[in-house]
Amino acid sequence: MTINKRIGIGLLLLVLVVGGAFLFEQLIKAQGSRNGKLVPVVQYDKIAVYLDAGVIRQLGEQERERKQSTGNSNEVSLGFVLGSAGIGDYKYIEARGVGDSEEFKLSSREIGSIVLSPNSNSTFAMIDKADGNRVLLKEVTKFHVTN
Amino acid sequence: MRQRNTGQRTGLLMLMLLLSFLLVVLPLAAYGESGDGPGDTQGVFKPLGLVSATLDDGASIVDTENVPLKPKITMHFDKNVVYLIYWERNKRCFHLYDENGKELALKLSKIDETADFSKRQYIWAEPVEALSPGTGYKLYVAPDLLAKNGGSTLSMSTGNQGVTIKFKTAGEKPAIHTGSVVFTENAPAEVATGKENTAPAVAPVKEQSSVAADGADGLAKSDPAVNENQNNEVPPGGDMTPSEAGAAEFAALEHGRRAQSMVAVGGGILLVGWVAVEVLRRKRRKG
Amino acid sequence: MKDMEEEKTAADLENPADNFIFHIGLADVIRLTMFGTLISVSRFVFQLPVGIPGHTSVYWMGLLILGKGLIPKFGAGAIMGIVSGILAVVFGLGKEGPLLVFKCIVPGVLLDILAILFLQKLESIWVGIIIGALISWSKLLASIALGVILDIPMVFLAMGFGYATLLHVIFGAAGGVLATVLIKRLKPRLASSWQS
Repeated sequence: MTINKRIGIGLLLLVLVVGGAFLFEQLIKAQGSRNGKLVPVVQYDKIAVYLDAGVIRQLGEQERERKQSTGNSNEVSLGFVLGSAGIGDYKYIEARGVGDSEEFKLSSREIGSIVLSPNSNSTFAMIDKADGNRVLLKEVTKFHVTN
Repeated sequence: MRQRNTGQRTGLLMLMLLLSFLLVVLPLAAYGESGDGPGDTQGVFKPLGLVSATLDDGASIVDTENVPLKPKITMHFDKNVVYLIYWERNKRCFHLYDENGKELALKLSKIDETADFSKRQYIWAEPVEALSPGTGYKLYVAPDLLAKNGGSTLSMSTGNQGVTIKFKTAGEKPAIHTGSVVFTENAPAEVATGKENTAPAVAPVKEQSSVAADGADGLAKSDPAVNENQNNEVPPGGDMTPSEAGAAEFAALEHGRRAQSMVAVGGGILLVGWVAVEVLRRKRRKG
Repeated sequence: MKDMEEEKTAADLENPADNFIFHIGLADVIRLTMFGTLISVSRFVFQLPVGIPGHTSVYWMGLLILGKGLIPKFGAGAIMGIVSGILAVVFGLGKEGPLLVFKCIVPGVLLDILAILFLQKLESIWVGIIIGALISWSKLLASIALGVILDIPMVFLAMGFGYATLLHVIFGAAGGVLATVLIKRLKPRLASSWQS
């Protein structure tokens, strides 16, 4: 094979690499949003932030560090997550789960007792601490912030 | 002849060994001096700096006199400062003070990198309530502001001082706002002693040269009553002003920077050594 | 056959410097070490606060290709990668710790492979663009792999991947172009004195 042919293939490969990277990113977003591995937080009809189980775990560590708490559970309060996402003023938060699971509409007062806890399959659950650790959503797929 | 060649080769090997020794020892010496652990947050990180602070129309706010009463200040840094994991910490670094040293509530916003990667270096600051006309204000960013890499802080580019941006609002100052009234209630020590305008000037903002870097200690000494004016978005800033631990961290960073200079010098020596070896080789060949 | 082997061993014993590592002579290894050092030092000296991902590829990949172009032997890239990686770890560059070596070695090894595929024609600008871009992208992939190992949430690794890829490719290609220009100018001058 001549060097010119190799250069041609190389340039084609570069185009594929760049195009493939953008495609891969979009695929990850689409697929992750469906199966609860990448959870969008929507505000003003725009995605404000994406969350995943790893983020929840690390935010849990941060929250415990700030509160000087020694507990070893990975959960983090929903309020802390929203604060970290830069979401301050809101009236309601709507949370949806995988499949046909129930949809929850939480006011800023109710959020105080809600925590998020990572699952073993890279998703995370929404739990109400005030209701005896009742699991509201086993696998969260979306948050919608209403101002 | 053979003996001469062997001698030359031994000499060359010795020279190479010497260079290799320098190559290993210099960085190690620097490493030892700085006390840095690899991968630790005390590793050698590039400093975090403020690139610009502008208003909605794109004009710089630094030392500007006709700032609107409800300005939305766009702060552009040279690194990712909106990282979700550090945001709770970072938003505590921003404080707005009026000319009497009273802290005002500030609303901070960001666009998360996971939503728009190109906006990861921007933070928008807006006073919660309209500012008073014809009044001077100081927007202070504490040196603890941390970049996503977990090691670059604003203290590295501002000598542990943080950034203070001074501006004045448009219009005439209302007669009831006599500085001395509030002054006795909330003024920081530095204002009380009239040192407000004598702070050493540093220029961490690259596009301007008139940004003053105030002694952070002065802010740490501010009246606790100041904190009552905070909203949830910006919690009290007293705990984020440099403490003794911060000073120790800064000293460690200084060590790191000194190490960096040493390494750069070492690199230069190696480069010169390399050139010398090549010149020697060429001379020997010609000879 | 046996005679030939004996002859080769004898030659090696007589001049061990000519077959130091990867069939590269000691002098070339030292030169490659210098290039590896330059890569790490350049990361110190050119601390541009531009905040654009992948901008270091301009001089990082540029120096890698330059070294490989001037010493066109298999393993040259790997040696430069190993040296720059070890120095980067010792300097404490980045937050990856000892795993940083991996990030530095990957582009070097890929450079060795790509140089063979492109018939060692590193003085060609197009080859420089392609190799620079690909090895720069391999650095990004290595960073992501390290992120996974270091338990950085996937969301931060996947989001902006397209943008980061585009920038790494552009900066890597720029480094490749610079390197080819330098190779073209330096190679004829060094050809006589750099024979080990």
